[in-house]
Amino acid sequence: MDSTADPKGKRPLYQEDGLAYARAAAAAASATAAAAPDEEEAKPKPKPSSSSEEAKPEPEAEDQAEMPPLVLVAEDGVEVSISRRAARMSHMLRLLMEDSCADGPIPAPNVHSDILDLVVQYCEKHGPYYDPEASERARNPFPPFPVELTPTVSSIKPVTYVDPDPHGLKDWDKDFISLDNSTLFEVILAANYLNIEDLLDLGTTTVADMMRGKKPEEIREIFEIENDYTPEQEAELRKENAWAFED
Amino acid sequence: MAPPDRLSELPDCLLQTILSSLGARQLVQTTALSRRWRHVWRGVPRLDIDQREFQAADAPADRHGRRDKSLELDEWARFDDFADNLLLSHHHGGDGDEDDNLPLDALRLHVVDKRDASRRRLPLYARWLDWLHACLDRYRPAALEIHSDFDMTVDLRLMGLRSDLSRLNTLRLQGVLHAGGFGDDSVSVCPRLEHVEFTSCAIGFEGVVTARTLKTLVIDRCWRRDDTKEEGAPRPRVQAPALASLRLVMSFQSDIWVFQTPSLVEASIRTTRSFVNRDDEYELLCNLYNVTRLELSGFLALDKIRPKNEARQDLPKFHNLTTLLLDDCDLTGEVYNLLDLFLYNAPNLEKLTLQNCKLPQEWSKSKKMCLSLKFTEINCHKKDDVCQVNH
Repeated sequence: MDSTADPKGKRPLYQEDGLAYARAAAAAASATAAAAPDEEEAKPKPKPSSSSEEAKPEPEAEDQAEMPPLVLVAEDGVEVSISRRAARMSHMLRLLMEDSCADGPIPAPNVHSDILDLVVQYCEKHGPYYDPEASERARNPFPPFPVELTPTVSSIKPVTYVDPDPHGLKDWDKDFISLDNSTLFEVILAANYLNIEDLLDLGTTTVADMMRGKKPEEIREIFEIENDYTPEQEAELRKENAWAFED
Repeated sequence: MAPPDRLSELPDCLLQTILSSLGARQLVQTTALSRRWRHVWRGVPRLDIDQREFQAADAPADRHGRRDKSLELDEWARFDDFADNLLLSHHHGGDGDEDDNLPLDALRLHVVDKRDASRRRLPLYARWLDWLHACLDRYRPAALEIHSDFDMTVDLRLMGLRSDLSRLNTLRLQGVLHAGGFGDDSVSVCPRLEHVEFTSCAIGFEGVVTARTLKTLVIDRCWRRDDTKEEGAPRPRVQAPALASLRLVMSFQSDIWVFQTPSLVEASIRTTRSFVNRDDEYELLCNLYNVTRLELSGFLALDKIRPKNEARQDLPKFHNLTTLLLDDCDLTGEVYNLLDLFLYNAPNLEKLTLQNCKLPQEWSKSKKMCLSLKFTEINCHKKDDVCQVNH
């Protein structure tokens, strides 16, 4: 899963602007769709990795499943389709769908198509089980500190205990997120842009897990962070904050 | 040429999200990563101050498991030092102006200490309370967790008088002595408190405790503080009109409070079999008559309870109950069988799960079964109790 995205430097967050931008672009795109067809067809291409096939024969009678998938346009112009059910996971796309601005192609100008594929893959996997309210409840303000060794007292899971993995997706997530660092950061940025909280959580906690328990030198090595302090500056800094550093 | 450092290219807010699951000590250490990282840690909305970060992982222990005392003292001193300095230098969200301090989403404090050493620490402990209040004042967290291994006392009412707890929405206490105050009528110190969790705490409320805004309550292996027990005093009553979810894990020391919870939707009660007043257990069950989902674990057959008075109330109708799970219960009673009682009194029961229960030898089908029961699941533990239940 090698990212072929160009290093673009720091990506600014266009969260609010992104939504407005997407809406405007979607409106403009559907208006000009008839006039100037893109190099790709206006109809969503059935891609083997994304699951427009999955969305349509959905047995549950959900209106969204009947409707055609959304089309996202990556920064390199490639179109990626995502089923409506999966698109619910993105707060931004959800709002667009609610406002009925999601019929035309939706631009994702900061996201390369490879990354968008990954993101869509995640959403398609989690989409069927996604419940925005349950997700909110499960958002624990105190995620367990990794060294905690609390054994579970009950042999049963009480109703008030929110099972963190009710659908057995943890292993899949673990495989999914084992990406090289560059791709991982791009996925984080994309999840942030599209406002997919669960994927953002997954990405950021993965990075945090890599950092945990390591000294700054080790962290620099893992993430290839260049130490631009001069030795004097660094010594001064460590002295100032000696209360936090070891020895 | 240095390879591109993609991590540092992420915007501050994303870096802060990443850092927010690290312990406070490591968080501060990120200042040394590079110039870009120098002040990133200051904007992280969550602080996890854990003394275990200051414990040397590889310290040798003697055969009793005790570690070198001087090493422990040294570690404690470092932790103390860290906590003080953190408060001084952590400018969350501001440039050092007090007014700009944005409140924290979550503050977590975990202190570890051997009980025998705690007596030596008493003067320090008083300082801890001051430190805690300084933290509360500075950070005004929406979620607070205090996890202590020594006899730390938390009195919400007093805390609320001293610090501003108006943002507090979630409270989790473990291993502390709780002196009450979370629901008193007189002073509403936490107008937004919705989720409360006590684990292994000594809880000291008495009389009537009213918690108007509370939605979730967990009381896990707690007990009443000794000094509040009086002979013949009525059991404390918890009135929580908005409570939707209740979870109780009762150990042998527990007294059971009386719950008045008209809005309760789900409840999960686990009890052990020794020394608990069975009548209280029964009364607790009666108080839960309006739940939709109920889990009971470890309940004995009711006819093993010796009724104090013969005219004990019958189990009320559980009109809303749709899901019932019985785990590790004794269902062999002839007269007052828990399962029978529920089947009889829960007309809308849809899903029943029996897990690890002690079943009677003969499962006679002549008992009245709920007609609307849609799904029954029986997980048997012992080979002898192979189910022959046809449904």
